[in-house]
Amino acid sequence: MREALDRDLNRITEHFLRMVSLVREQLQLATAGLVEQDVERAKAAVRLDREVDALELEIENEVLAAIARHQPVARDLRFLATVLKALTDLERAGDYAAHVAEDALALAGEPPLKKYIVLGEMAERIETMLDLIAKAIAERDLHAAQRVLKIDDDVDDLYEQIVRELLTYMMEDPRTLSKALALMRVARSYERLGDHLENIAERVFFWLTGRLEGAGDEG
Amino acid sequence: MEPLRMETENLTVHYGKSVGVRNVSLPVYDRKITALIGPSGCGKTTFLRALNRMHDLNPIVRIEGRVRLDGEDLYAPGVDPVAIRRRVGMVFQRPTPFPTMSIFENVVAGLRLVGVRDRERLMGVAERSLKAAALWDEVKDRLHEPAVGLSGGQQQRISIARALAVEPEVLLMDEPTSALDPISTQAIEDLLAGLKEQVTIVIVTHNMQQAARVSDYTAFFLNGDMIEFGPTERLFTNPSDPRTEAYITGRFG
Repeated sequence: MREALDRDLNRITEHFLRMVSLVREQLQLATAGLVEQDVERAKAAVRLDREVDALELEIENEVLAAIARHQPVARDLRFLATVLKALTDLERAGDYAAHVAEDALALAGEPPLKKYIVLGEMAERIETMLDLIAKAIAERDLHAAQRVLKIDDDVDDLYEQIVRELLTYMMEDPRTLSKALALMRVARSYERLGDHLENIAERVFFWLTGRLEGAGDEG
Repeated sequence: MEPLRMETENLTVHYGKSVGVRNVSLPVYDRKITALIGPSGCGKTTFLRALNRMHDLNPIVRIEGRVRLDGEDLYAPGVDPVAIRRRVGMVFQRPTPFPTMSIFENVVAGLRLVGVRDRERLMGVAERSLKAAALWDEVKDRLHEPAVGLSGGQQQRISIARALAVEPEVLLMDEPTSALDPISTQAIEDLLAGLKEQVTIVIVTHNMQQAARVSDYTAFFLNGDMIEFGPTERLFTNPSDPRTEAYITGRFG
């Protein structure tokens, strides 16, 4: 029976990692859509959201089936609970990537307000967070999960920086208002995306240690 | 901290030259269910039987350490093992109805042994015990029929009713459902949840899901040692010892 449980757990792990890489792809496409004003890639990011949503449902069913069939305990139980909770956060992360892509589509027709350097940095940090989440899950790497929490602090700092920058634009020249507000929304989407990834990292910490608190204390 | 009903302190059970249970100190909390789990031969049944001096009749068994009931050492000189077994009852793996006796006589057998003759009192005890064992409604119209005519699950509940009839403080159960079908097993498990309001229960089970379902505390035994003891929820979600983790998740051996 242990083998059957391991097979189910491995499949759920694979599917979850696939969902992580879909969200990563979505994020890359959305960011390229924004920074390079590439409409096609922005549209592709929006389309990918359906795939992410479908995968979420599929994994949820697999987790419920594994619980029903094997009545797992201890680390196995914590893993399934982690996946079940992390799924919601990962799906929301995908939604925020799609929001970025939608804003990119709206902004694509006009000359950019400025070069999107800080937004690009935020996107890069978030990509790293997704890579670390994948590593933490695939290799049961506690340190990787804890690094996600640290990087989210950077993302929050970058968000503050962009907000201040955009406010300056708006105050200096009211004609920038609508573009600046759209970019403010984009920055907010990245920031929220980072928060959802932070939640996932905290769940992975719980899976690996059995502790619900203290994920940010060390590492 | 929960109030204690029983406890062992450095309890060691020797079987001739080998050791069945080694240095086990276990608290048994009042009106809680404590489950003992572990692979075959880990010492959990040997430990259970030491709790009401069932090893006394076996000349090769030697006990070291303390077993206390309400603070009193059960192995102290002068303690009457028969009196102990009234206070600490036992239910075995297989139902043990006395084959020549009726349902009623089976339930009150323990009281008869200590000389209770009052028919009305015996009937009152039989009804109370059968109700506590969730069997009254099924057998009240045939109390004087042979107990062996009952199903396995009903016979096991007769055994429980008989153990309860003498009003023990603690009930020891050695895999009480391992010979039963799932429906009877569920009936016994439901019964345990109600029983613990009156009596402290220590149950040995091979079925880990059963331990997780019914018990408040769980002790994991391995090769005669108690590896881990703790609240059941904690032990089954976040065991502290890697050997416990390996056993309960089926990664053993």
